[in-house]
Amino acid sequence: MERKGKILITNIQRFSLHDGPGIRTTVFLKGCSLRCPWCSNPENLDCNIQPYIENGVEKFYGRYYTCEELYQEIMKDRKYYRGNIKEYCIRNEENIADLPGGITFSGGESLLQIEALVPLCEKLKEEHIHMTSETCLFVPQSSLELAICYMDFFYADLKILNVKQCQEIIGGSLELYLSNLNLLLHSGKPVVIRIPVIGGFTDTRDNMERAIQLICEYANDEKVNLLKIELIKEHNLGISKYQSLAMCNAGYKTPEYKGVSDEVIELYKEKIAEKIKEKIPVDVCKI
Amino acid sequence: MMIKNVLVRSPLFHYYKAYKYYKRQDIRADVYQNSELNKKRKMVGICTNGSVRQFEKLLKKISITIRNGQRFQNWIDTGIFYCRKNVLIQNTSPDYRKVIDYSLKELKMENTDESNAICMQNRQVLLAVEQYIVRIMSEIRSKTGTAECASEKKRLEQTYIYFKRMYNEKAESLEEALQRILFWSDMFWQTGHMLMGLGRLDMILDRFEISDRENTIKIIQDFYDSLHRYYPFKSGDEALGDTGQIIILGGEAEDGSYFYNEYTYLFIEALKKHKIPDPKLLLRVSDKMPDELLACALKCIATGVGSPLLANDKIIIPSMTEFGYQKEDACNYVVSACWEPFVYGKSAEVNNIRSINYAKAITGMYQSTLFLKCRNYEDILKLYFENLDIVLEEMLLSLDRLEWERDPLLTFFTDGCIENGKDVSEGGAVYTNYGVLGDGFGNTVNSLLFIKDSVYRDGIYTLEKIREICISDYVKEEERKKIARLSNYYGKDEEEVWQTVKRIKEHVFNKCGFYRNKFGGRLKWGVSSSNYMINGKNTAATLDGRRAGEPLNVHISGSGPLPYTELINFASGIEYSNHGFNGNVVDFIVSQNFIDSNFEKFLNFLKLSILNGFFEMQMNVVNSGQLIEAKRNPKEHLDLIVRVWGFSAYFVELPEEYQNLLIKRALISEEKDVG
Repeated sequence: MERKGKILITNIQRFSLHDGPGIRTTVFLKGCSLRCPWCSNPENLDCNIQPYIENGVEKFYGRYYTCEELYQEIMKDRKYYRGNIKEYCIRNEENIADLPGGITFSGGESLLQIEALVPLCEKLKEEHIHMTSETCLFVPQSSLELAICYMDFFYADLKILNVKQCQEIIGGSLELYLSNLNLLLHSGKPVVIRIPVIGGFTDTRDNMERAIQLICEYANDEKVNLLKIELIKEHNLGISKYQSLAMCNAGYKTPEYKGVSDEVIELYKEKIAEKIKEKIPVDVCKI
Repeated sequence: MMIKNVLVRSPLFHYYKAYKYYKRQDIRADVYQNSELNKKRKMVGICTNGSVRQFEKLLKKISITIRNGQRFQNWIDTGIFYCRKNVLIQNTSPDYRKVIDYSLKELKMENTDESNAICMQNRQVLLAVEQYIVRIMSEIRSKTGTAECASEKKRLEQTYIYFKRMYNEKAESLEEALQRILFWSDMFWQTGHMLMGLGRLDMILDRFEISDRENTIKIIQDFYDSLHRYYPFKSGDEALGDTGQIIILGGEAEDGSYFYNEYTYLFIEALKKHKIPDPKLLLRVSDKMPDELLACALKCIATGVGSPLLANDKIIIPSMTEFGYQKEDACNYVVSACWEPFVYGKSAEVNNIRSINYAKAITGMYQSTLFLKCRNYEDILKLYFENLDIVLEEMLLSLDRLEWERDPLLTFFTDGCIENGKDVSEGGAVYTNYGVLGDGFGNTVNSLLFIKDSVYRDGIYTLEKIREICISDYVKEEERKKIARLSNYYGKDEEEVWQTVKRIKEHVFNKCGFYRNKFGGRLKWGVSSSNYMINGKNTAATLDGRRAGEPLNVHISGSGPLPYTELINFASGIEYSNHGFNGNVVDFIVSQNFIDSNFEKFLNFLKLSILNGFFEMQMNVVNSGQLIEAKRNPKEHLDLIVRVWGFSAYFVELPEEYQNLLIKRALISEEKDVG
């Protein structure tokens, strides 16, 4: 199959209400630059089509789309991508509800295929379709710069802020992350930071303090367009996907979640809110 | 079917129905046993078919039940019934404005033309009602003497005044108006009418001022309770809850504005706070309606009470005017018991007179010797349409055989009868069209497209093979699952699915568009039906993984999980013109938690869906876990309400096959294994 210029996708989820403003279509791009041990979307880790077994039947994660094919699919719900405002560069969390729905690129790491997505993004931008990216920011700076040109809204992850642990646990360069975070937050584009709170990984006292400190720095920077902080509680909804992939020897270790109590999350939330003097709203999201 | 129709009209059926009502042994029987049944009454049949004499006799014999401590007095003597030879025009909503806004005296004055048989008939009806009210007032008077406290006495005295005022005064308050509606509505039930709606209550009550919002809600809730009192008796034979007591709210006016008032909100609020399955609400929606009203409706839906059903004026009104209704009348539409639009107060239309079983033509198609000779998809379609013609011709012939029972009560309420000098049974009403429902439309679309793709495009199956599989009724479960997976088209917003829908609808129009009944009325049809279970039992396996006897597809819903936007896109892409507006309901399952936690976005989804152009929409707000648990421990879930075909019902009271279907559909919508 000719793959040049095509985009590898595992799923296109219509009527998606949790991946950005309004009613959205979320495109799950296959391939990720990290290997977080708690990942709930293991089918999006590898950047190749992968077999899996479901109810005894072999199926495949991943399908290549041309930009045109993808455009046709994601525009089926265009009648639902309507909001109350036409200016997408909002600077207040309260205005998120006024933004229109649209397309969210998720993954995996959505920015790994940004170059292939450019023709599609051009077309969507022309039609004023709101675009959001969910990114871990462990991507080449050039990819992020490209995304900033097209995306109207970002969800940026904040995971492990210790250089060594970041490399060992999730396989990413903290330096690259911090540099990209700085670039994104100073781009003027609205950003929501999402913090996965995972037992034994991101919920350590040290990591929480580092996160709070980092957020504080940006919260006090008036040039930064940081709309909101979201704490995401760990969940095990991806287990069945690990099992289906394991049947085809994908080689991923199924996560053993230690659990995070609601008290820990609430305390974390309060600490962040206290430190940033409630300049930016902090929310807990349970999936 | 014919035998059933004869039996349903016979005194035996009414006796059986009343007997069943008394002897209920089901899980909620205690609730109904407490509703003061008149167990000692003998069963009395009133003969003299269809004449005013029959009506007069009936009113003289009704045992009047006055209850202490009730805001409203209403009763049905379940031991007394009409004997009739023909079919009653029912499943309709009388326009009660006539009896709220006018006194009996004024109404009699409108019926003085002795040369007009209908005026004289109406006058006799009114005289009989006057005599009946004398008896009622006497009963209230004697009950007042036994009242245990001053407040009870005061209430009965007030009710006495309400009845007395009916002679010479129009209603002056909400309470008085609702008492009148109950009185006349019960007379319809008493005279054997089934599935009687209540009409546009917010509109006809508009002139009554609301001084105290909370008190008004309480009055409406008491009104709901009174309507609900004879719930098992009013329910159809198939399932408890199918009473047809529907209240229509809101709606676009002829000038394009959207009509609503405080009552529109209060009727919804009252149901939200007082969850009972019957009566049910329908909200006419439009892009011109206030967001707050839609939000109010969604909050009510989210409680799981099953209503209001949403009917989209942007689509329905143009479909009706295109059919031939006057614009003014189309804007004043209500629906029959469930969802079939018709003009309020001017129609004697029977809108669910028959059902087109589209799937039956699929079974006829593959059982035909010509099936294996089809060389391409067009041959298949041609053969399908030949078989559909047989179904349609049979239906049209049966319509011509219908004879209607003379009906003085409905005639009194229906415009056109005086002008035409005819009873409703003789075609006296302004509108006299017939309506038919549609079963198995989704199974048909799935079956045809399965052949198109899996046989002719992909070559996965041969015609011989799929015929063999269907005739053996999917003896191999794996094969059935595979075909079900490959034939999952209906509800998808894809061009080939719309095209298939369009071709079938065009064929029906070409075949039935010319039809005129004996009154000159035409035929309208829809793709929703109340018969998906009953007709499913008589339909062999279809080519979409459905086994013989299993339920047919429910309304406009997917056979697999579908994003709500896709389902609405699909429904909005269907053409409802060319007589195709007799009920087309998008039906889906959604959890309360999902609506609650995404309320604003879900509300926006509804708003944009109205613009998108669905015809009608109803939601079952449940999840599979709730339903499975309720089936396992019914006593713990006596009040769990679900939406069935076009009505709400207590889940635990439904026949098991309906429970199972709801559980299966909930599991599918949650993308869980249905086993």
